[in-house]
Amino acid sequence: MKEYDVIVIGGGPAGLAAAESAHNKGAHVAVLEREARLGGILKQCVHDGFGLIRFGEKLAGPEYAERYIDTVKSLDIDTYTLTFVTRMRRNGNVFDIDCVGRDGMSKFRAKAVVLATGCRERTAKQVLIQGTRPAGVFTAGTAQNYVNLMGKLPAKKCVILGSGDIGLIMARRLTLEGAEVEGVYEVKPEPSGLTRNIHQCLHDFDIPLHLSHTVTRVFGADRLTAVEVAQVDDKMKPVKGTERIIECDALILSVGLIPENELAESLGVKINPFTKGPDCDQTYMSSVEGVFSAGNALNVFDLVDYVSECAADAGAAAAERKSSGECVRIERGKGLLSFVPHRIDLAKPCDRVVFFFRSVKDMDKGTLKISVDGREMYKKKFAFLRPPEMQRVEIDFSAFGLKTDSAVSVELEEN
Amino acid sequence: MELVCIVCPKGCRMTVENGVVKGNTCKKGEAFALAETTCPMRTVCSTVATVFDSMPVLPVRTDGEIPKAKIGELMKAVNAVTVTEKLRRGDVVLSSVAGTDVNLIATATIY
Repeated sequence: MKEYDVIVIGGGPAGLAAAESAHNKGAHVAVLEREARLGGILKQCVHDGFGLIRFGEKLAGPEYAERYIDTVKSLDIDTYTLTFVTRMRRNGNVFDIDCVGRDGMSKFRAKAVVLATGCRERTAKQVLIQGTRPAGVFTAGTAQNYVNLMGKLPAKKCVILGSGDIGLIMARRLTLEGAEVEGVYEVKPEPSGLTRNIHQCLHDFDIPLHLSHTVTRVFGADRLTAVEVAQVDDKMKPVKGTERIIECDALILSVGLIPENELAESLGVKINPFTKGPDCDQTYMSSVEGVFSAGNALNVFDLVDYVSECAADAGAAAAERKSSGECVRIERGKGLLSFVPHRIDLAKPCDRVVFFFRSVKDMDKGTLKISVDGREMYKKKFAFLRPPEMQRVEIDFSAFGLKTDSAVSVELEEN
Repeated sequence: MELVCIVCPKGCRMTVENGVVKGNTCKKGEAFALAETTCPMRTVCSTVATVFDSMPVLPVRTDGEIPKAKIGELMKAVNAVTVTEKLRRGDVVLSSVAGTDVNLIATATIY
C-alpha cells in the first residue's frame, strides 16, 4: 500500500497543474495516469493557441503539456503511468484506490483525491444516426489520434458532423494533410465552436459550413461509402425533400464532450445537471468531503489555460484540506447555461472566487447579476457572449454578507 | 472589410476601412486586421514523420508567421521530412521555410 496526502487521478493538463500546486502546498503527491505518457489529450492537439493566458505565448498542445511535465518531474512528485484505477472507496477519513498496471494490482491510500479524468466525446450511437455500421465513422478525437499520434490519414474524402472545436481543427488538419473535407454540417442554427476557429479552420481553406443541417443516414457494408445529409427545421427535424447523398469514406463527429465521472459517481459524488460534472464549492470540492474535481472532468472548458488555473486551485485546496462548513447554493437564474462553482462554503475563503460561466444564447451585451435575498449585490457587463465561449470573472462573495440561510441567485440579463 | 480576430480566443469582431481598424481591443488585433487586408499571415502546425516506433510522427510548428498563400508550399516541405535524430522540443526541424526567415520547430520531445 502506497500512502500519499493527495492522489491526482489523470495526468493531463488538469492533473499536472493540480499535482504541482498540491506539492507546493507541502503535500506528498502522486499522479495516476492510465496511458504510457503524461500530457493527456494535449499530446495529440498539435495546433497552436494554447497558453496565451498562462504563459503569454501561443504554444502547440504538446509544448504546453511538456512545460507542465518538466515542472512535475523536477519536483518530488511520484507519477505512475500505465496505471488504471479500477476502484475507489472511502475508508473513514482516507480513500483506498485499487489500480491495475503492467506489474499487476497495486493499492494506494490518500487523504484527499483530485479527479482530473477529463471528458469523453459523444459518439455516433449517442446522436442516433440511421443506417449500416461500416468502418469509417470516427469521433474527431479519434481522427486526431490517427493523424497526429500515429501518422495515419483516416480519410480520403470526409464529411464532418458538428461544429465543435475539435471538428473544426480536424477539418483544417485533414485538409493540410491532403484529404478532402466536403463540408461541416451543424444541426443547430449557430456554430458550436469558437468564432476564431470558424475563421482560421474553415474560411481559410474554403470549407463550407452548413448550419441547420444534419447527417440522416450512413451507407456502406465494410467501409463507409456515402452519407445522406438533410436540412432541419426549427425543431431539429429533417425537412423532407432536402436530402442529399454525399459520397465519402469517412464521417467525423464533433458533437459534444461529456465530463468523465465514473469514478466520482462510484464515490457518491453529486453531479450537476448543467455542467455534467461534480457539484462543487469555491475550492472545487465535490459533495464528498476530500474529493476534488478539476479541469474537463468538472466542467468542459474551451481553454486549457483555464483548466490549469482551476486545477491548480483544486490541487492547493486538496493539500490544505480546510474543514468545511455550511454552504450556500448559487441558484441558476435566466440567461445562464452553466457555471462553476455551484455553492459557497462559508467556512472557506470566498473573497476571490473564480466564477466560470456560459450564456444560454448569443448576446451582444449582457450583464451578470448576483442577488442575495432578492437584493442586487453585484453586476458586471460583458460583450459578445456566446454559449461556446466560456467567461471568467473573479467575484468577492465575502462582500455580500452571506449567511447560512441566504438565497443567492445569479442571472445574465441581455442588454 | 469585416473580420474576426484570431490572435486570441476573445475573437473580436473588427472592420477595416481605408486602413482604419475598428472593433479591436488590443494592438495585436489592429496589426492582424491590417495584415489581413494586405498579406494575411498564419502560424502553421503539423507533424513530420520520424524513424522511431515509439513516436512515428513529431508535432511541429512554424516559429513565426508565414504568408497564408505559402501554406501549400510549406506543407510540401513538411511532408518530405523524416526525422532520424531524437529531437527535443524547440529544436529546428527545417530552417527558413517557404522562402521566409521562419523556421519549422519541434513542439514535442521524442521519447
